[in-house]
Amino acid sequence: MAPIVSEEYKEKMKSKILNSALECFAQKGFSTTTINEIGAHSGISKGSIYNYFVSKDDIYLELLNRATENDKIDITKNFSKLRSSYSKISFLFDVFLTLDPFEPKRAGQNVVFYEFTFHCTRSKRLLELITDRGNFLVNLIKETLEKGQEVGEINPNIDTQVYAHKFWLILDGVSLQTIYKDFPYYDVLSEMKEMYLEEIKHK
Amino acid sequence: MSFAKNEHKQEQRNKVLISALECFASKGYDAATMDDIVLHSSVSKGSIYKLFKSKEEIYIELMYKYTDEFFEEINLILAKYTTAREKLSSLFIEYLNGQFDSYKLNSFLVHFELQLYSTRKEQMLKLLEERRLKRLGIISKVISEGIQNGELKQTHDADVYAEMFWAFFDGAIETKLVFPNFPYEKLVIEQRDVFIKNLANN
Repeated sequence: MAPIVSEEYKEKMKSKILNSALECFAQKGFSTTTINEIGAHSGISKGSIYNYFVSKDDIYLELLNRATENDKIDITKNFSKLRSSYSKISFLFDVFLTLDPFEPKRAGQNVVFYEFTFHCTRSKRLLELITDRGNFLVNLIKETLEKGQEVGEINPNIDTQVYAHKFWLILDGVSLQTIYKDFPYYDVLSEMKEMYLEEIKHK
Repeated sequence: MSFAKNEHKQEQRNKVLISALECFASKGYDAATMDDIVLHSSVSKGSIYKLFKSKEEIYIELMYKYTDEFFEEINLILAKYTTAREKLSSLFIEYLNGQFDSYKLNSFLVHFELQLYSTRKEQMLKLLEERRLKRLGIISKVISEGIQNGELKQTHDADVYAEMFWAFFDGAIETKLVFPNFPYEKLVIEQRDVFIKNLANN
């Protein structure tokens, strides 16, 4: 017998659950939100939700995976348009400089992301998963810097590993401040960007 | 008589706060219950409620405790040095690259989570905003003094650089907590060099 439930239907259900979950998390916080609430918000029964996801952690991980996949596609597309490593790194800073971190929806998602990140410190499995994601992001910068060093465009004296980590550390540090509405996000990030680019440039 | 009573009260308060910190750090604020704190502190539930109205009040008290201890530590380091360069450098090296015991790591974790939690609690966010301004003021003052005495470049905005300092600081602590395998110490030293080089007059 052919399966009664099509893949397309399953995907539709999954997306519905994920969208509702993200809204609930942003509104109430990751740890206070219950599967029941996600059920009520999405109009999908708790039992059905468990057919698609084992746990709340699993739901957020899927959200994170999808977002990371989208970012990956976006970055690859934009990187292919840019020739130099230097302009690629500069472009990545600009991605963050052109968005509005105080816009309520984004601000809510930012909070959930860090709530989940800190939540991961309590589970070995979650910590491994989030570290894999971190390593992927770090390698993206590291490879770009190394290519730039090969062609003499990036300062050969910088430690690419350290600078790759530093890129994301800066973004995390700046993003964490955005819960304070008077934080001068653009001034701080622009200055950090200039400082970073100045160091990686081959003189 | 009443002195001894007060001392006992203070001791119990501390016991509860230290236990609460451990419970919040190991389970998360939402998942940790008053019963967990009772069990961990061996202070009865009735006594805890005489000291604190609610779990949230304990959370807020922990925030005060953490920030007070933090400011004290930072000021102690700063007081040892005279130049802006030494002061800034020592915060990177002595503080960020210093030893963190489990009490401190737990405090960092709980304080980060409390800040995120406060985004849905207006009153709490207000308390944190005061502390944030105080934190900015400390670095801003060091940089302004350095600019005034010609040690640091006049072209830089002390407030923006103070914000940059703390943004890096928080990013570093987050890295330390979440990614223990990342090259944390190297990152701190590197940033210290670049930060000071950018600020200083040669």
